[in-house]
Amino acid sequence: MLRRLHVPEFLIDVMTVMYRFVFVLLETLGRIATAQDSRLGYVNRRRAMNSAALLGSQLFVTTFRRSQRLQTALDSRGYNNSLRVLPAEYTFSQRWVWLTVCVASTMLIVSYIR
Amino acid sequence: MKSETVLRFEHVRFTYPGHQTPALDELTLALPRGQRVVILGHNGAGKSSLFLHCNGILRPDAGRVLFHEEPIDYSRRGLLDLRRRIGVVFQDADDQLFSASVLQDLSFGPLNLGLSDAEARRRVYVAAEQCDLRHLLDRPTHALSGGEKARAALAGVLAMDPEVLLVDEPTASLDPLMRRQVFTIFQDLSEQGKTIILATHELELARHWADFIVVMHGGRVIGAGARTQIMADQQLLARIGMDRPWYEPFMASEEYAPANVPCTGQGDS
Repeated sequence: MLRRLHVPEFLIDVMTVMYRFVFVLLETLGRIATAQDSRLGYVNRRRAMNSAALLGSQLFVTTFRRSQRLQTALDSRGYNNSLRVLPAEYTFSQRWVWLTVCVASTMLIVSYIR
Repeated sequence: MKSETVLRFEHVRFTYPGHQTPALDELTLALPRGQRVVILGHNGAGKSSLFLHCNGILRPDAGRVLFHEEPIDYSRRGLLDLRRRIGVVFQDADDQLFSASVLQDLSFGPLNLGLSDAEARRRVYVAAEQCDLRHLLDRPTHALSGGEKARAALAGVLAMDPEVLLVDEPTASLDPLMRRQVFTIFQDLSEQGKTIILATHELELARHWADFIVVMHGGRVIGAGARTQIMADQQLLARIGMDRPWYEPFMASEEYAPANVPCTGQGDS
C-alpha cells in the first residue's frame, strides 16, 4: 500500500522491521523480567532498581545479537538490500468502509468545532 | 552438471573474529546428493558454522567449499544462485521471521529470486499447503505459537524451492506431534530427490532417520559414513560420549543399571 503511494523503499523496510521488533522486544522484556522475578529480583526497591538496570542493558545486548541473526537469516533467503514482500490482501468490506467514513468524519467535525 | 557429491569441504578453517579457538578446524567432508544426512555433534561442535559455510554466509579463512564440485562463487550473483539452491532453516524461528504477516514473510524469498508477484504468490501457497499454514497466512507473525513459527520459518525457505535443505536443530522447539508433521514434510522432499541435511545432538534421530551420518567434534569431522557403519562404531560414538544414552546412569530400573557405576546413594543399604 505504502509502496503504491511512493513512500521511499528504505522507510517501508525500517517500518516493517520496527513493527516486528516491537513485539520481539516486548516478548524478550517479559521473559527476562519473569526470570528475574522468579529469582526474587524485585523483592525490594533496591533489588528492583538493580534488576531493572540489568534488564535494560541485557535487552540492548540481546536485541543487538538478534538483529545480527536476523541479518544472517535474511541473507540466506537472498536479501537484496530491499525487503520486498507481497502486498497484504485486504478484503473490501462495505460495512467497515461506512464505519470508517463515519468515525473519520466525526473526528474531523469534532476537531473543526473545537 | 550433477555429481554424486553435493557439497564438499576441503581443509576448511574458520575462526570467528575475536575468538581464540577455530569454529572449523581443517574440516574435510563430502556430502552425498539426494540422501538424508544428519550432522551429529554437541553444542559448539561447529554444526551451525558448517551450515553457514554451505550457503556462503561465512567464508573460510583457509581451504574451500565446493557445490556440485565447483568452488563457491562469492560474487553477488553467485551467492544469489547458491542461496536459491541451498536453503537454510535456522534454529530459532524468531530470528528468521521479520514480516508483519505470514504471507508477507513467506513471499520474501521468492521475490528476492526475481519472480513475478503471481508466481511468488503461487509458491507461497504451495509452501503454506505443505507446512499446513494455509489458514494462518494473514495472521501476524507475533501471534503464532512456537510450533507455528517453526513451520512458518520452514515454509519461508521451501517457498524458494531449494534442492538442498539444511535445518539446524529441527526437533529442538517442537513437541512430538509437530516433529512427526515436520518429518513428514522432510520425507516428501526426500522422495522428490532433494538432499536434506539436519544438524542435531540427538543420537536417536541419526540412528533412525539418517542415510548418512557425519560426527563432529571441536570443529572437526571425526567420522562420516553410512548410518550402519557409523552406528556400529562404538569407539567413535564414545569419543563424543554418545555410545550410551545420556540418561543411562540415572535410569530407575536396577535391571538396566550398568554394574560398574558405583552407587553413591546413602539411604538404601
